Amino acid sequence: MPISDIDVTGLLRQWQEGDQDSLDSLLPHVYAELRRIAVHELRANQGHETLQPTALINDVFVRLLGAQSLDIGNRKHLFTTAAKLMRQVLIDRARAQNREKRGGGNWQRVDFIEAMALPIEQNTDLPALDQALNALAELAPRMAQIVELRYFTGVEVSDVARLLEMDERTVYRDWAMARAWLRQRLDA
Amino acid sequence: MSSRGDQREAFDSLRMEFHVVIELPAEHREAHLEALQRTDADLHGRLCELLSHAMETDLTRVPAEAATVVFGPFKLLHSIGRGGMGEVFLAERCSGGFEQQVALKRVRYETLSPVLVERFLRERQLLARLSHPNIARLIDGGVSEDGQPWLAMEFVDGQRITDWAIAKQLDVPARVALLRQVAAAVAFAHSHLIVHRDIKPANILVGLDSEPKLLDFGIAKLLDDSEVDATQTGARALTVRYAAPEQISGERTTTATDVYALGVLMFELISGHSPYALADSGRQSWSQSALTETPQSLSHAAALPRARSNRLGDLDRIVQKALAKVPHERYPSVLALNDDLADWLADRALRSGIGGTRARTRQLLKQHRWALSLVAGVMLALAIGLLVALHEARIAERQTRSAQANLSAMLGVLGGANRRDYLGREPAASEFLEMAAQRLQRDYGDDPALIHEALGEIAHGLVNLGHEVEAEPILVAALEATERMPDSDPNQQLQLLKLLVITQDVQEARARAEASATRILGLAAQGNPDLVLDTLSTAAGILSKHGLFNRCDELFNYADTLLARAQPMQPAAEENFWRQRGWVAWRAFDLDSAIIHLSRSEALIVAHPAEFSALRKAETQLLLADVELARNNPDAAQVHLLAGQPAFEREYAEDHPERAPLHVQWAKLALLHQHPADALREADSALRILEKHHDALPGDRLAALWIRAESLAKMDDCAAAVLTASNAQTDSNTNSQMQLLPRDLKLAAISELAIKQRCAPTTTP
Repeated sequence: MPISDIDVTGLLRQWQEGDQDSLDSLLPHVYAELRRIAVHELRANQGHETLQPTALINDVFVRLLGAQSLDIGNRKHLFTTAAKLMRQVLIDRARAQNREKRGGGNWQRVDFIEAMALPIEQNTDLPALDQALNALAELAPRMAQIVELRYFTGVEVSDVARLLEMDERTVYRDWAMARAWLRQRLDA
Repeated sequence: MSSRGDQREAFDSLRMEFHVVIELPAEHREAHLEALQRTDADLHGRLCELLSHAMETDLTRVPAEAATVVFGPFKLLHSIGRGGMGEVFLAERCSGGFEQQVALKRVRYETLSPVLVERFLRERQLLARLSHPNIARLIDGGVSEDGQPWLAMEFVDGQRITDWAIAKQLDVPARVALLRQVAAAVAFAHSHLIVHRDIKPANILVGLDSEPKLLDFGIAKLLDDSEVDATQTGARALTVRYAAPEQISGERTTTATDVYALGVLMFELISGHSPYALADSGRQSWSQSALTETPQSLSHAAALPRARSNRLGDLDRIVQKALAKVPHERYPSVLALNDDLADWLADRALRSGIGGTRARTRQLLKQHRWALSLVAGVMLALAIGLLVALHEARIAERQTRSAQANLSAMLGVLGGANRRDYLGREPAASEFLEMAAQRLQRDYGDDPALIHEALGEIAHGLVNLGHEVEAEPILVAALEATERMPDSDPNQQLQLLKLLVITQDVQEARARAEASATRILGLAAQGNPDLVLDTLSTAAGILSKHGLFNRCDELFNYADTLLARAQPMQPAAEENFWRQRGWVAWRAFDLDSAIIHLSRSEALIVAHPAEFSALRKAETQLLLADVELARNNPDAAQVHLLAGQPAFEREYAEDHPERAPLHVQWAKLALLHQHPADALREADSALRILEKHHDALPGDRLAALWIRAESLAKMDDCAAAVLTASNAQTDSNTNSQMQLLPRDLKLAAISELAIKQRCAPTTTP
């Protein structure tokens, strides 16, 4: 369904008014929109640029919201939800590819995601990462959130700190520990 | 198996220890871990296991991707951000014996050929010389052993300029002032032939000292020029949102590229929005918008209160000029942009001349005070009058355009009146007006209505300034324009003809004045009666100066028929008519008619005192005094003289040429009262004044000379009397500016007679 056909304004209003589910209903369309813009940008610039995922997500939401600006609470919600969405998308793709390749575990970044300069290391087993992240969220939900934001929307450490209203240095240390912890778990 | 709560608790302890260890300098870690082993062996084991999985770079406060931690003399501390060109780290100097923190940029290129390495390093030297308080200095740069190019820059601990402005709740002027600092730094770099090419909020940080600092100066160019690896150029992400059209289309980038980016920055800094509404709302890509979308209005985007919109209008013009799609339509330099910003801040008109008319007028009036001392009343009156007209809601569109064109032509001329054009001299107001007329004819030649109106105004200004000669061709051009107008209005032509004939009072314009009078008569039947009468009497006044009294009669005869039919005239118009008629009769030395006409003028003044200025009332009184003097009525003359004198004394300085006729009249009166010594003194006063003003009032100078001669004769100083008389004779023969009229001849005759009577026996050849 093209985004113009859904009640974006209504869903957004509900979301801004506190109905958290309405953003979830919107996100599949947001993803489609992200993709559309990304492909357009890439084509217009003949592949000569790297798409900043943060900027892309911002663009889409600014577009959806019009001139209204997001307050910090909504920004946080937006980015954490977008991160979840991107995570879901990436992992679903990885699983599908794995199935196609019959067991080949290497994740190949594709189309616009390739251009998105997400800080996920190459050759990461995404489904395994997904499970490890779930486990981390059990132990330290905020740490998992930092990873999710960094990995799946490319938000910089400093921006994560701002979004989660944390000390930047703390975010940095949590980020370092989270990756060590995830590696340890994935290596096991 | 422990409970989930226990697991969390264990994880929290692990986290706390990890945070402690990672903050410790590497050399102290071992001791800390040993201590931990003694107190909590389990935690120590888990921590070591975790640390063994931690990335080397994290442990040296460097994120995952960094394999190398030492670049030249610098050691990486931790990542402080990622830009399009690569990741940036806080690093510190680890050699050289002094502490220095830098922002170290690992440029995202894989390998460099030796030639390119050399070029990269050479360019880097140029950049390192760029030293400016608002530019983060390039401290060092190089290529690591594994081929990784890097640059070390002054570390700026600050906030993005846009965030800082919001956090500090800066008002618009404060934001403009901030931008000026940035622009000044950019201009400085340009003067060192370095273009930034990637100006954006992320590259301008404001530190605790409130000083903005530009980062990454010249880096974009440095990298492009190095052409590090043709296949890798795509790796450098251009920030499309701030990219100029020529950058997007891959054309040459110049200083104009930075002007554009400053425009985008300025727009965002002031309004909080991008100039491109379509891209901002995601309806099209940034690059598409930069290439094709017209930037939105700043005042609209900023949504500031209406009261400020006037000032914002100029700011909008500045930003729009900076954002022009074609580089050469932007400000020619960042300095020019900065000049306009300075003018805006100082509430002056913009130096580039793109500001609104109101501000421009204000500015030009201020800037050209020296010129305006000459232009004074005329220009001010014109400019202000036009501005008023512009704001008159009812004014027809054509008139508005005319007024605007006129004003802009004049302001353009004034604005162009810089030292270069007028080196070493002060231009006369008439020069401004003449240039304005030329400019109008050049720029609006295809619009006769506009030319007619604008040139008419300018010619009026010139006439008021006493530059009739210069006004004449402008009026002719204006008249030509009216003839090209499809709906030519005879009244408009009559008004121009009235001005034209006024300019034709010099001797050599005699035939043209006559032709003008003919044209006036030709139009008289179609014109508004008041205007026709006014024009007829004005023309007659000029014709009488040429001694064309028969033509004057012709005009007045027509006027009489019109007067018989027409509605009563406005008092001021009617008085002018009779006064002009009085002048004509006086010049013709038709004293009885002169008294009749001037009495009607005087009666109108008495009946409508509020309609007339003091000077105009005085003019009639002095004219009456002249006629009464000629009629040998000293008492009546004295009454008029005393009535008219105060206004002249108030209005004109002692040595102003307009004061000369007063002296001449007092001299005549003294002669009538048989006081030749007084007459001589007054005549000499008149001559002294007129001596300083060569071209002024030749008729009065001649009168003063004849009276001087007569006075001297009556004082029996015949030698001096004869000499003065011969001077007067020479003067009247050689002065091409004046036509000798019956009045002048009569005066000369009286004087010569007196000399003959008193001095004939002693006259020597």
